[in-house]
Amino acid sequence: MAGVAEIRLAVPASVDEAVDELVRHRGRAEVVAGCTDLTLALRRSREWPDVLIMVGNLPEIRAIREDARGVAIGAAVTMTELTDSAVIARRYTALAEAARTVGGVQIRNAATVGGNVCNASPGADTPPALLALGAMAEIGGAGGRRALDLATFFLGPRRTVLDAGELLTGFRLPSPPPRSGSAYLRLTPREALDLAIVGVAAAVTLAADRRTVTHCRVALGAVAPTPLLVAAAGDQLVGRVLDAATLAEAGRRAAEACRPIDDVRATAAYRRRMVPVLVERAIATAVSRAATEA
Amino acid sequence: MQVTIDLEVNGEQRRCAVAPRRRLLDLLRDDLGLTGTKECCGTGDCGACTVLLDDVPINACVYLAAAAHRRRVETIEGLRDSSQMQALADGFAAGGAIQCGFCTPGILVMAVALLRRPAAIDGAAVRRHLAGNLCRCTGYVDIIEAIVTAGGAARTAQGAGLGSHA
Repeated sequence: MAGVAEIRLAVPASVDEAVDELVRHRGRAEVVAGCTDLTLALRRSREWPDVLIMVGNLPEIRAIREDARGVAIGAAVTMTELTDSAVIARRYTALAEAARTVGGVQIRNAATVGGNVCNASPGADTPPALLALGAMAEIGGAGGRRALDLATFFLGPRRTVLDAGELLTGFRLPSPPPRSGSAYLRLTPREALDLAIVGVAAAVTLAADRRTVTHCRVALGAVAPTPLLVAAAGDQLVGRVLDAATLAEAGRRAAEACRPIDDVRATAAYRRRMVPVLVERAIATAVSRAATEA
Repeated sequence: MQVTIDLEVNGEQRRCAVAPRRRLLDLLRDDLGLTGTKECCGTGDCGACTVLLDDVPINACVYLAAAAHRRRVETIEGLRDSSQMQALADGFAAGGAIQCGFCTPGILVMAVALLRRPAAIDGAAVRRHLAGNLCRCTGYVDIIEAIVTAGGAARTAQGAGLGSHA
């Protein structure tokens, strides 16, 4: 066990410098941004990293940039910045809603979207929204940059595909077509400072008739070892008009796909019962937003 | 080994040596003697340790001191002479919004951050803003009313050209 006295602080000025540090201290480095999860983890841990790599203030990964292809969100963008962003609220509503449910004001001011994803908590709020919105994860490593479908990023609780020498630098979300809408709903006993019993994100696009679904993605949180994209729930809606039967079918498929556990917050059985309820509401909300979108 | 960080605390440039795992809360209270910032839950749930980091409130108990390198921190001590704090002190005293007082510094720092914004505030806005602050004595109503009252008073003072203690 390494002593506390051996830890070093690295303050890189660029993503490349941060990656250099990660590669040099492969497996012995901890990336630090908003600190909200890491501070507690470090204090509980009996093992200390050799180096803390501070990326919370790296300009390269601090911005939300919209272009013709969609939006690029830096990994060190905070939850508050996501909720305050006009483009996120308007075009990627599920992500704004997910960010708004995290913690309280103080936590949202510090916590970053990259940290929320890399921490890989099964119940994290932003991953279902990012999955429903079709996010690609952008990753920097010794061999250069790569992009990866976020649906393949999570391996299990606290485990991701990130190699010890890699840094998550941000996300790219495709531009939603006209008549698109999305929503994130979360079931918790308290509105603030709580963790999801079930989280559901849905993103929908409608045809010119504003009734027929042309695209639907549904993702779940807190009901499996990882955030879960349930393609089967959304796909069966494509080409159909939303009604009680198609909605119920989406909920049924999502409930089939989830693998919840009993824990302090809820039983597995309760979670499985609540999944279709939230899936139906999330899709219906996304559809009504898509129908009224200019 | 300790690392050296440079940060601004309550308007003063400070150079501090900290262990990399040290919390901002420990730096403020134990190294700099700024004990107005309280530790209660220690897990980011109660808001007693709220400070401003580059003008926005955060929980100092779940923030590494090292992450405050090259940043600006304001604690309850540094906010004492602000016009917002004067209005809040009057509002809290008049409204009986303090009982044991342990949550008060964190709530006051949150209230200053809210009153510094241009938007008018009401009870609902204060409730949303204080979602991350726990008080086990007052039941919150007096606190929320005191902040709404102070918000009105601060705005009136500014409108009258009296808000000179920035």
